Amino acid sequence: MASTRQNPILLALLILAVPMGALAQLSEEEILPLPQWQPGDAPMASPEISDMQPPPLLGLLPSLTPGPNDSALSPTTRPDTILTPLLTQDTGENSPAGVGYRSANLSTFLPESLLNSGRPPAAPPHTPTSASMLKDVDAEFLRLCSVSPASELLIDPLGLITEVLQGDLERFLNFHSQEARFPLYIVVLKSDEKLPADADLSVMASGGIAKKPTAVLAYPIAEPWRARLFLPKLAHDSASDAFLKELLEACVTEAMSSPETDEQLHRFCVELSTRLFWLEKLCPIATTTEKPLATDPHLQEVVSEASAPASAPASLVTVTVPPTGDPVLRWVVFVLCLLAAIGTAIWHWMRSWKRSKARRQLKTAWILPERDLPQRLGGAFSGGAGAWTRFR
Amino acid sequence: MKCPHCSTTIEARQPACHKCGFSLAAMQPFFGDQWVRLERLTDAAHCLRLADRHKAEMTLDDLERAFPQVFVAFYFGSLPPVLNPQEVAFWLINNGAFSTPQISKRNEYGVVCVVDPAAGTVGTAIGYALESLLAETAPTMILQAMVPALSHAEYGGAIEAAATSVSDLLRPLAIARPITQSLSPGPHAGSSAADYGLHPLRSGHRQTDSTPSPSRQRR
Ligand SMILES: [Zn+2]
Repeated sequence: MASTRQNPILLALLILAVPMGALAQLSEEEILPLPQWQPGDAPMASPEISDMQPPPLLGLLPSLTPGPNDSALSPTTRPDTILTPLLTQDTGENSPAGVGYRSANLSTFLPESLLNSGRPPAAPPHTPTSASMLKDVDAEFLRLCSVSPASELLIDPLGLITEVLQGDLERFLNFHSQEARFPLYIVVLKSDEKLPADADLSVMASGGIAKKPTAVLAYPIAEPWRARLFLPKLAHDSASDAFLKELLEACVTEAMSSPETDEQLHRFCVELSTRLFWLEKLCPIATTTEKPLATDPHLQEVVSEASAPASAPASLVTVTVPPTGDPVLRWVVFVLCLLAAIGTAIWHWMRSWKRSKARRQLKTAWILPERDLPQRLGGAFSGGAGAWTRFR
Repeated sequence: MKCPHCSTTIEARQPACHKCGFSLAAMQPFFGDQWVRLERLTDAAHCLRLADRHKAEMTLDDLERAFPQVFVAFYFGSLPPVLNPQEVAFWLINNGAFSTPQISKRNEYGVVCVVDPAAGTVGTAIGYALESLLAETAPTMILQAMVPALSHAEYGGAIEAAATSVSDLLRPLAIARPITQSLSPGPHAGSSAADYGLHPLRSGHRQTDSTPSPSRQRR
């Protein structure tokens, strides 16, 4: 009976306790003021979130937030830039604070690569450099090119291409040089730079270009249409202008099929290598008299006006070095051909003259007069006229 | 003219050498007095290659076509040691019936060359008609043309050289006449020379020979 009398009391206490607790919580919230979120406050959350430090556990992982020494990071990989699209996608319909926290936490706890997966960094479209903005590479660049080892077929003194592409290209160029008659050197330029008109390619690669017939490609990053191709004179003269024009255009077209600057260079090289193999088949067989080709008289640039897009201001109309030996060579060839023609004509004339003479003689009988001599030594037909000798 | 045997000068109509007694009759102990049938090229020494022989035949054809009266014959073989090739050539031209395409050629217009490859000697004899036209040094010049080839055992080349030399020597002495088309026999023509009472061998045509020996008539 006692328990039954206490139960109503406890029940009454419980009923009273609920409103009292609510009153107590309400009073506590009034004591601790929390930020009051207003619709226009969402962007302000970002700096605060990005300033949050990762939990101590993540200290073993690479820092995902930019530190004071992370200026080398590309803007496209900075976490704040990653966050920006997520935040800007939010509208007032959702809770700005909640979405903001969730995104910020993901960026903080997930490795960067996972956040970037399936979403390649969007490179800004390259604007062709106008002709007036093009500048010659400086002397230091040329010096670095000249001291580059002859064995390094990829000359990129400024480190303009990524390490991965550099390895790929070096392997590819080495393979090409082993299989092809003319090794291919590639000089990588900045997108707004060009080779000076008086650049001496023969000194590049520690003179490796001058030691043997080589092809040289001067390639401005991101502007394949301004690439300049220099071929050994033998190869240049062996192919028709149309062939060389198509060669260059095919390389540019292949390169331009990719928006990635690295991929452009890679595609350009692969296409160029293939075309150079074709070009070799047009070249006469090498002889032992084939001399090492210096740049000036022997390297000739492939010129193709059509290869440059309309927006590209610089075309490849300039021929770098006029072949000074050509007029003399042409005269020698002309004289030799003339002499050969004269000799052939004389030979034909003499042969026909001999034949006609032989025909004439065949149609001619030579009649000797008849005279009689008195017999001698008892011979009816010969009197012993003659001679004899030893031949051994 | 010199004696073929001792090189003593021989006068016209002299029947034998005054010094050594050389004459055609003196050759009878070696060859007899019979006529012998000879090809233009007689290779008793078997020193001519087939190609050389074919080429030489064509050369001799050309020569005989250009000089219808003339023939050149060659004998390659070993000779008796006591005879020189000129003596043998002298006997052959007087006792040989040479098979030439034109059987009507007379031996007076012949040149006979005798080569002894083993002994390394070469001699020649020419008929009276050619002797009367050519200089006395002509036979020597013919031999001189042959010697370079003979010294290299190029017997075909020696034949070519001799034929060329003979042509060159005779052409200035000859009169050029165009060769007319060969005559075709008419309906009443005979089928052989015998039908016309002609002897096919070169015999009996020399009227000055007062005593033509019947034995020279080979057939
Ligand atoms: Zn005598």
